[in-house]
Amino acid sequence: MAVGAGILRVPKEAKKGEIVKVQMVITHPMEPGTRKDPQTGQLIPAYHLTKLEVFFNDKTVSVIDMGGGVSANPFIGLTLKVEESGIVKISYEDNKGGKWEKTAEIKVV
Amino acid sequence: MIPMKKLIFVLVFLLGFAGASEWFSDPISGIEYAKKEQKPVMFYFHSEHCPYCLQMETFVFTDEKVSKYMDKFVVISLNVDTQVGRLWSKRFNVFGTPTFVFYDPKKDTVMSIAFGSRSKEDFIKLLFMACERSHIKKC
Amino acid sequence: MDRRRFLVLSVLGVASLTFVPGLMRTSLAASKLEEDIQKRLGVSLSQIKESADVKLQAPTIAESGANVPVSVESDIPVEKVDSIWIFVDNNPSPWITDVKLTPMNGKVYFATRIKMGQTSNVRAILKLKDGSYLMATKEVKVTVGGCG
Repeated sequence: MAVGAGILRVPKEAKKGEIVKVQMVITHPMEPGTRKDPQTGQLIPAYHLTKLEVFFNDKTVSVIDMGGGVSANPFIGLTLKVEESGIVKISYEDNKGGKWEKTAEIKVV
Repeated sequence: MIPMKKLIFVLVFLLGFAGASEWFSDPISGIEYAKKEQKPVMFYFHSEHCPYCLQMETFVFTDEKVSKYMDKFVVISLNVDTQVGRLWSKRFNVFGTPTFVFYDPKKDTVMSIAFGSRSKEDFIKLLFMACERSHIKKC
Repeated sequence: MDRRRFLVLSVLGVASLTFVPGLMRTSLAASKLEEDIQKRLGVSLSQIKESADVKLQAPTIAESGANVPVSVESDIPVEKVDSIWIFVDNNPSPWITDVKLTPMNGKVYFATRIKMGQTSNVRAILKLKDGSYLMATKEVKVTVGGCG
């Protein structure tokens, strides 16, 4: 998968007021900048996600700051209290200017 | 009275040694270089996606103390899934990664082999023992 | 200042730049965690109390340390919590990640996977909106090994 590709998993439906799990996996090498490249013996420059924001209907739900200490292809799990139907959006960036977004819909039943 | 030119030359010479050592991916040139520099060789056999190799590369090799000991060796780093890696794996009976093979380039003999990741402290012990075996004056 | 004195002082200057940082590092290395906590949270580790209200889940034994699953949970109402922070004592950089929560989260919960360089304590710190901090600590043993 391409760097920055994200999988966002939320339940398709929820009862009003239900607290659901929001899970995501982002494809990214998360190089901390302290790893020796086995080919050359030189340090591999830092290349990792720095920030990930979660929105629901454009309102900020959570903001995550991270560095190279998070594992490669980061997995993140959070919860969301669903008061209304809407769109979950995750927007994330890395230290080299990469910026991506991913959305998923939840319907209140 | 120390001549200015000589002092500057000495300072520049010393600073030149502050750089990180390069690793060889070609065993032949690595061994030749080691012979010339009178240094023992450490082969680092690794494979892609092996988390134990990743562990060594991320947290052990770049440790300051470990680097100091590693600088006493010429490191020949081989991916076991490449042609040259497979060839030399067979030669040293390497069955997994990470594997460290300490080799005397002058005598063309293997001094010791160690398989598996280890902590910084244990890796320094390993390097120190290999260093002593190779009769380097200051280990 | 005559030339000779200048040269001697320059050599001493270079020498001290080489040796003094090494000496300093030995005394700071033991509190890299404390430094990071001070830097990121603005408080010293000694001011943060362990609390059973912070539930930190991490494996007792982790293979290789490349992918250690960690989750933090609490029954403290999310409206009272500002953020969750994760630190690994013995990593070269102890701070791993932090998340700012909002009431929209519904509850205090955060899960991720982290890198660990060696056996170490993992700490989850809750920053509360009233300015206080609560913490849970768990030791995770990182095994050595190899790939066949």
